[in-house]
Amino acid sequence: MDDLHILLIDDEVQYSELTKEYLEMRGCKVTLKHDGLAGFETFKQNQFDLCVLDVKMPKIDGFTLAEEIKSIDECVPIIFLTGQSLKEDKIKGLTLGADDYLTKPFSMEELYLRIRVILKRVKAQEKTKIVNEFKVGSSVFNSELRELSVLNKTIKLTSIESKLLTLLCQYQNKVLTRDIAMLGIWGDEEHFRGYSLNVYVSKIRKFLKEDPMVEILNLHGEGYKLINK
Amino acid sequence: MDLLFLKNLMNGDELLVDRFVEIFRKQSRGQVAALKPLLIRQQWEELSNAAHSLKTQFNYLGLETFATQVKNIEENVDNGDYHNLDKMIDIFEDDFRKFYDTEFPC
Repeated sequence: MDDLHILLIDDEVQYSELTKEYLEMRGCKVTLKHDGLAGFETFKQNQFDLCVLDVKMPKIDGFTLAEEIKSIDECVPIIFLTGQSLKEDKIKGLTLGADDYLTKPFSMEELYLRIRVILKRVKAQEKTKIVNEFKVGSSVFNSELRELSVLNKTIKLTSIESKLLTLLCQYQNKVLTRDIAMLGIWGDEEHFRGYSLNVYVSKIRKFLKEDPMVEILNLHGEGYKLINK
Repeated sequence: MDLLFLKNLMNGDELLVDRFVEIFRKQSRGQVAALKPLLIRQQWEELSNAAHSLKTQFNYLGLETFATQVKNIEENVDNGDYHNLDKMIDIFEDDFRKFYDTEFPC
């Protein structure tokens, strides 16, 4: 579980620290936020393997937050934590695509075991499903064929262009940091790659310029963000 | 308080149990005292959240009577049924004060 990154959002400031520490003790990396807004901002800036959301929180409740999260990444697993045990709430949570549901008081070990089970299942699903076709705005990109179809025109991409666009698609609506992009394309993050990266991003942007439904933003000092409008 | 129940939830980790109880000792009294001002200011959402938070803590500690009392307060607030709240909070505050003074004497 060493590489797993979990986003825990719970407004119980002190008690949730205990949950965080327990999961960390079991080998997970945990980012803890205490309200839905801060949690959602954090989610947009990072990659998480799983989210654990309290249901009743100020500003944004857990259900609304789950909808926002799923609108960005429909595959990320979600576990709801709740003080309610109402059947209707459980149904609502599961309808929203929650992978599991724990009623407080819950056992820390049970939470950890459920996380493990869900992630094992997700990994098994990933193994059988290799995504090589991405929808980018109104365009379609096939990473296996290295083909980008923009408004019925097919563009053949080079290996590096294809790797870059794949990464942008995987981080769709999120920040693709320069380091991750360089590592993913060239296997290292040497500074001299920075200029090349800018050039390739410009090329991809040019390929997609006819598509009004997609935009690649430059985030100064951070990286890039592919926006699907 | 049913610390055996809490210990089971914490996978037998005594340190976590102690920390949980310490957090409860430090914050619960203030949270209980905050209910009445929230009622007076008619801050319904905050009052519901405060009662909800207390309910969770009481459940962890096996304090079922208190958990039921704050659950009723929370439900009344959520249902817009405000007229008994003043009395309900008074009774709960009084019961809790007695418990707290016995459990955590100065």
